[in-house]
Amino acid sequence: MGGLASSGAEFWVFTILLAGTILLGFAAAQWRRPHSIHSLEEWGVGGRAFGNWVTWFLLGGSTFTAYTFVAVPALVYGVGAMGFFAIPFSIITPPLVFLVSTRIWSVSHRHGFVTGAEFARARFGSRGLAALLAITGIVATMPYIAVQLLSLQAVFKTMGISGEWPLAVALGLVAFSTFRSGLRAPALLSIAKDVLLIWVIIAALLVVAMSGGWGAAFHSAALRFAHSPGPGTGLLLGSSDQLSYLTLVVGSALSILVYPHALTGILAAKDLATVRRNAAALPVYCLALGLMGMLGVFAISMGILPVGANLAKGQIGDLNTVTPQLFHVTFPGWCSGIAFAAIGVAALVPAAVMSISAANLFTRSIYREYLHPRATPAQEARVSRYTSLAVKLGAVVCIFLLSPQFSVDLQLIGGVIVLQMIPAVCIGLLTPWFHRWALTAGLLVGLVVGMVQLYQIPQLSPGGRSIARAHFGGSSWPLTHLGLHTSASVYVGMLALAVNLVVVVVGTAVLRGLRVPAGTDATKQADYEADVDDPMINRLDNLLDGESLQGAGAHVR
Amino acid sequence: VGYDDIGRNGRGDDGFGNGDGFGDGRGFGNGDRFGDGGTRLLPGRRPSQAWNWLLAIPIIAPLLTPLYNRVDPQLWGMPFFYWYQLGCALLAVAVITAVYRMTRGRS
Repeated sequence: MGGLASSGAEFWVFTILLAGTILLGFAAAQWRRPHSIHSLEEWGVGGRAFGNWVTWFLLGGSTFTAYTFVAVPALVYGVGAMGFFAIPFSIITPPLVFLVSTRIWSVSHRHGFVTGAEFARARFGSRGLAALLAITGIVATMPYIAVQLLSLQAVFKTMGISGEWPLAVALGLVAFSTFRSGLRAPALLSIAKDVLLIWVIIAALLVVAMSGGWGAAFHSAALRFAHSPGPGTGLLLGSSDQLSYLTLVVGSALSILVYPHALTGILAAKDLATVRRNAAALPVYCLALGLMGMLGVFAISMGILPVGANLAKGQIGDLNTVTPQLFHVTFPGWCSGIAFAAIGVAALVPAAVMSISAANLFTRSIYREYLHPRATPAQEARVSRYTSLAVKLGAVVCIFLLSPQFSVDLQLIGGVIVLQMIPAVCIGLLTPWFHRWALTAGLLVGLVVGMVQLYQIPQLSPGGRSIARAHFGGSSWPLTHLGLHTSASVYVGMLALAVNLVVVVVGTAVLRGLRVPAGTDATKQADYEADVDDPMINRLDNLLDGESLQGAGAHVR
Repeated sequence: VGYDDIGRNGRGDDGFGNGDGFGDGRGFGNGDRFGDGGTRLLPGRRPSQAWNWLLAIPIIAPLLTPLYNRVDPQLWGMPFFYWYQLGCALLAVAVITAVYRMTRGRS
């Protein structure tokens, strides 16, 4: 469709919708305004007062991000079935949330935690472990914010807007509204995002139906994959890809249980029933994601090429632009403007939530533990506000100064290292048996193993004949490194987690055998079942230094 | 719901959702020191936590790649691989909703 008139409509619809949504973020300051936002529980987890609908939008907005909506179709476009891993991953996450995350909600409600690292500190009595977990969480989250911004940049690129300033303006506005309103800002934005997203999905389904339906799309995609076979590509999984697919699915699902931004969304829920009902409703997002994934197939059949692609010279271009290009080419201008606004808001919501989560990690497990142990709730909230600004700035610097490819690499590494928090933050919810030093050792070993394995993975050029980059080329680690005669590979995160768990279990057995003192568990069995009408009496501060923390912020009813 | 919930855990039912079976001390040995939930046991019938085992269905169904890694039968032109996994999402909604309804306390 192209044409000046239509691309003009595209630009203006996009700009007006995005600006309107960001203004909504500023309105969040007035929405259900608390008596005082000057505590971390008000600013950082919305006063633990979000109900069913807001929690659903917020969780959907922070876990089904723009990067997901841009990267999943791009992956399916590039490799086919393997890219569909995001769908089973997001299906098995909700049952796990139902079973496991309810426990962290309860214990956090009882003790006033706003992050997983604080929980590990109370459970295993080690502030060193908590600080290490906090740093791991922050390092894993920063590049995740950066790739969100890359998705937004892909939209700008598709519209032909070059330069980094539009990105900086959009992020700056969201950073400011988050600074003022805390988690309430992305919560409101995520509702707007889903309204736009529903529009996009209906429009996409209509376009697919008008262009010959899914049958035609899959048929021509099958032809392309048959025409240019490569390792790990095709409309179905190859026989040696299944292990890699499964480990990637399970690893990604587990990572949602410990990713700081996902925890923030869960902790902001007002009661246990809200968390459980949300677990039941979250798979609805999988349907949306699945349809988006299949748009990758549709993009193949429509002959979409990413921005910067030049087949004659063998350049693949920026794969992130496949989805925006598809909308740009197949939708009328005003409609692709809506789609771009949806991607834009979907990028800014998780960026805001993630920066809040990273800031909370810093405030509770580093600032309060090491720098200013007697910080008041107001001081904590102030530190978190400024830290969230710093985190966003860090992500922008990541993109502007380093190459975009570097952000994508870091995001890959982030997914692997965040999994190393599973023993302390997730399995720790089920048992206090682990020894704090074993957990620390396991975390460190897991991080090193994960990094080394990622370093060993080369990236193959399209067609798979030569090596395009020697290191950090993917997350599927060939089992031949272990001397096995197989073409199968495994997701690095899961291998590193397995090594991590072995270290933790063996280390705990040895340390307990040697009677090395374990930390004191400040939580009780009953804390893991507590619901909203339980008194929030057992605050960590009371237990540790007998000091009462006044006005902790959450709505005690 | 609250105190009743706690009491339920103290009894150590046979489900695994709310920690029973994982975290109640039988498997990992924390029950003795910290299993004070039982002391708060309030009278009242609780729905069985055995319903939580149903959640294994939406966890396992999308992991059966050998079963669904095929083209036929197709639905609206989509290979089985794709629509089966979308179907799993609907299955997950149904199962989790059912488990939620069966295990929720009186409010």
